[in-house]
Amino acid sequence: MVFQIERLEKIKQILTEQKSADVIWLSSYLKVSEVTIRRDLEKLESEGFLKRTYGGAILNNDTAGSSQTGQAQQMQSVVKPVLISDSARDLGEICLTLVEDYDVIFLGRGESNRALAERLYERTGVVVFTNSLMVLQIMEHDRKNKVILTGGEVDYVKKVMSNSSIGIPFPDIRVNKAFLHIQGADLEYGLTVNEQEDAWIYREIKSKSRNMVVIMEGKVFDKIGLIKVDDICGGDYVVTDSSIPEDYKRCFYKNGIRLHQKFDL
Amino acid sequence: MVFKISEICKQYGDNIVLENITLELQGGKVHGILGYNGAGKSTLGKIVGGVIQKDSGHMHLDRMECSNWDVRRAMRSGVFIVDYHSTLLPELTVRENMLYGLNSIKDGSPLSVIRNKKKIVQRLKSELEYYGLECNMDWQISQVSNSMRNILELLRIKLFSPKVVVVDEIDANVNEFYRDRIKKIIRDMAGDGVAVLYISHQIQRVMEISDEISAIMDSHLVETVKVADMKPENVIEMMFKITNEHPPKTIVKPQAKILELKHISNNVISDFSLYVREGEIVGVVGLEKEGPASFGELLFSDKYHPKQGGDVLFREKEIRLVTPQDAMKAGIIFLDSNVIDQYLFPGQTVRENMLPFAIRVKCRDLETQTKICQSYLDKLSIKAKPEDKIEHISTGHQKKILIAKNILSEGEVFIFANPTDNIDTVSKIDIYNIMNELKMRGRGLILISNDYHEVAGICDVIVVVEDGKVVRKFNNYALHEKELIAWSGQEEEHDI
Repeated sequence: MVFQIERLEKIKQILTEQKSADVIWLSSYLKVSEVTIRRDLEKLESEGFLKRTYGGAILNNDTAGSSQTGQAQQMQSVVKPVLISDSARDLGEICLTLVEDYDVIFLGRGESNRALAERLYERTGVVVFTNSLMVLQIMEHDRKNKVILTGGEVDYVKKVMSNSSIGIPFPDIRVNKAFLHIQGADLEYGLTVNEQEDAWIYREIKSKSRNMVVIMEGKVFDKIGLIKVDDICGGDYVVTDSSIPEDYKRCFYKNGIRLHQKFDL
Repeated sequence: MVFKISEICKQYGDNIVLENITLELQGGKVHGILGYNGAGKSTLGKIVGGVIQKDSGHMHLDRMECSNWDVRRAMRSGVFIVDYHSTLLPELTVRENMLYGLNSIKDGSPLSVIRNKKKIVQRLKSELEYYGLECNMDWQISQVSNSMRNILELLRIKLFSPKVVVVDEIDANVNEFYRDRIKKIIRDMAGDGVAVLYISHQIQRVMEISDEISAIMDSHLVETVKVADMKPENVIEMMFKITNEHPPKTIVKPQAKILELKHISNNVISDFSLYVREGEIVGVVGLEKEGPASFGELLFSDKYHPKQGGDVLFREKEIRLVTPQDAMKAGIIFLDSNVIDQYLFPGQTVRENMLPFAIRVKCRDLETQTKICQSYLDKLSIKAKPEDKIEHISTGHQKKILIAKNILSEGEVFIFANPTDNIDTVSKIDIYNIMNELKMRGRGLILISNDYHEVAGICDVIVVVEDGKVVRKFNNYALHEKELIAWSGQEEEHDI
């Protein structure tokens, strides 16, 4: 089968029926190289369909139709699951490579953070501090890691908790890394966001976090948002995709920032 | 002969470039200055050479104060400067440039001037011959390469019995051949009793050429060490002091072993062992100039490079690799950047170079080929078009095209030798991130490099080779180099 899409469907079928399969068998059954099979399995793993093991793969029971408790069902009616875009998934994947076992991290709003939360099962003992209801929901099935909420007033539309308007002080918790989105990155005007609450969160978490990981989707470059939260090189890490302009790349790297860019090979 | 620099300060408006710089240049020694771009190294060099004026502080040449110091005074006192911007006049010939302004340095009767000129040209010719350089005296400078121009300037200076020579970043983007010559010329000058101030941002280079090294960081002179006393730990420490650039490090849980070399010996290295797993980058430092060749010799065995012992295993099965083609078939891709010209076909287009022959045979139509080529140009941020001629593309992009070609060949192990030598910053970061992507996708990578900073920055396991032996092997899985204390200590192996 030459076309990947046909092969992927076939592999899914095989795994659903047999629950597991190994690379060598799949390679001879589908008549493609082992390297190709591995690629296919990677793709399906990134979609959450299976988990790769040494020499093969097993069906991923966590997302493939798990039974839900009453509580979870209640949560579901509050927070509806949303599909994550490919680009967010890519950025989330890179963020995952910055998280160590037993790390203490803050996850803000945003698709990439949700994608990261979904992959945290690959780590152990991580403490996730968050204001996002979506992250809370995703982490529910994760027994290896811990979730702590910022608290505050729940905003069901934005799916977050917010403190600034209600005057509840931000918990005095220190984290190792904070993963945050911004809406504008400009060489002159710095990092900007569009909402007061986001600005408040950025400033609060910056004072409590050892490292700031700023997630920059391609559309933020040369844009100026409403509220400035930091200088352009205020972060410690920048996670971005291929649309980052060269002068920003150079600026970040030469100013000591660890620049992580997604390459879709 | 001693050139003393005391408490030199220089600032431009609010920007303090140099603060209380004090150091001593001794005749017969090469003094290297390290620091990241913009640290003030060039400024210091230019002050010594009289090109720019200091704000405060003193300079003394053998007890004589260098007052009202400008280029003319400097040259007359025997202090010269060469930097990457050649001062040779492009419209004139080599001969004319070498003799230009001669009269202002050496006075004498017209006859003696003519005899002098002849002597000088003669001496220059013999110097060129001595260093194995080909240069016609009647060539116009505009036809001469930049590296050659810098060399000519150095040789011209040599003829005037200099006391102090400042060399500022003249071998940053220069090939092996010229780099060797430049090194030799500088060391010969030192041998003649000249004090050389050698400025560069390339640590390895500075260490190779200098007797002593000072680092400038944040406008201060951080420390001065004798090169002979330096160990790899000192190099790393110094590097982290002077450089602000951090290669992007990632955490991936390594899986199965892909390639393993067990106790390989040949006539260069004894008992070399390493293994690389899926999702891991193993760095090898210290494999000398023969770096890639040495690694090739460890990997391949044929009658010209007999192995005296040891095995090569691929996915736990013993294999015998004779040629690079065998390796490619097995899924091991060997990319040696310094002989990049061996891998590229000059005269052909980007598309023809990038797509492996196998793909071009499978899809013969130009449109499909162009589409595939373009998609990889986009994926790897290569600023070129499929029909551009490969010689016109920058080195950084050529390297990325090579990488694209090899990704298209579906390799499982990638061996990169000196991948970021001589390329621009942006391409460098791109290559690091491409390596990380391969790592994340479960490939195994081996990085052979003499750039300690790069290896410490991006590798998960580091193997240090010294004098043909593996002297240290340790883990580097942490994200922050501050946790790199392992460098000066315990031996561990692949412990995750």
